[in-house]
Amino acid sequence: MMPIEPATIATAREKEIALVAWLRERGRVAIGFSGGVDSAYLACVAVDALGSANVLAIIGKSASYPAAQWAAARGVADRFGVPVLEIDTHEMEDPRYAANPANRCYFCKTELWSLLVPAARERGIDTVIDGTNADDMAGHRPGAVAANENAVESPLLIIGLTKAEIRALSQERDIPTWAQPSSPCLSSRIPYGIAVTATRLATIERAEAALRELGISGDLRVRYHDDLARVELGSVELERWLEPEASERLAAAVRNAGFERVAIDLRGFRSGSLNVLTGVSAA
Amino acid sequence: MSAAGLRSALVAAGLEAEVEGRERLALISPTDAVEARAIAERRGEVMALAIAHGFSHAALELAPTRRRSPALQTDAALPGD
Repeated sequence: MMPIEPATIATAREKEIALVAWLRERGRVAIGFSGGVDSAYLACVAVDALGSANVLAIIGKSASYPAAQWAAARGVADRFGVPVLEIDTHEMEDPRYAANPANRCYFCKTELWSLLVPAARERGIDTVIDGTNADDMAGHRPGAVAANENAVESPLLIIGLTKAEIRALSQERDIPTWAQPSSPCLSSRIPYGIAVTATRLATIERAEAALRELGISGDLRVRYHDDLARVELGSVELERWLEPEASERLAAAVRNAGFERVAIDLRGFRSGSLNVLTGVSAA
Repeated sequence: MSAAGLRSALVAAGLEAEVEGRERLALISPTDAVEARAIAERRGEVMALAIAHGFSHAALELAPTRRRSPALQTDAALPGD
């Protein structure tokens, strides 16, 4: 994690003041809460700004949401007094989602918000927000369309907080997610056009969990290519796990999770790697 | 994308491996542990060769347990054996 410059943290603090003001204007908020860096920060600031009685963090649970992520979300909520509501989502039952088109995230988020927004309204909360930040608009993000259609607001984006600033402010608040790698849903490991199934997601989740147990830290993706798992690691871990003995242990762990063949990507971790592979984004 | 072209380029660079093209992914399966080590150490060069042959990604297969290339199946059982 790159250290943040003093000037940057000063700017970030000013933005946080603006974020608190924005939240106070709303009075009560419900947050789409995954326990990732952004929504964890947003939930903690909201509790500080509004009090826990005026905040509800809603977790949408499904097969594409890793158990480790759920545990991290609950850990942050417990520690910082964030009230949580858990809702089961059923995007896997939507054939438009399961077919895994390039706009798959749109169908997932449509399902998510179609459940979360009414749940918030039933509890007298009119403002529903998410953790989209100022960096997020650069990539391929069809899920943002679903948020707009459901009147979900993105205060981190509105205020202009970047991922680096959110990490720095999270560190100041001692929120454990500050150094957590980005953690998109498990379906992002499956190339577009290859069906998303509960079995495939479970295999990917087992493989990534097994690699974490081996001690791999930082960015990690197990990309699904039918019988083959293509493992993407951050640059430091890549160096380490290409060593002969280490690579044998890595391969064994991934095979035990259910893949027949295992390969390490020679360039290492790239966010949106499968978008490049399938031609959705430029290389 | 040309898996055969990339394989030839790797051989010319002194690296023995099979190459399987999976759309824009080049799956490189080294012939043995020594070659695997060499490919890992020269991965920047290997990546550049893969890109030159039209691939966006290159991955090194770890401890391949079996070979799919007919060229490497010369000792496979014949039908009816």
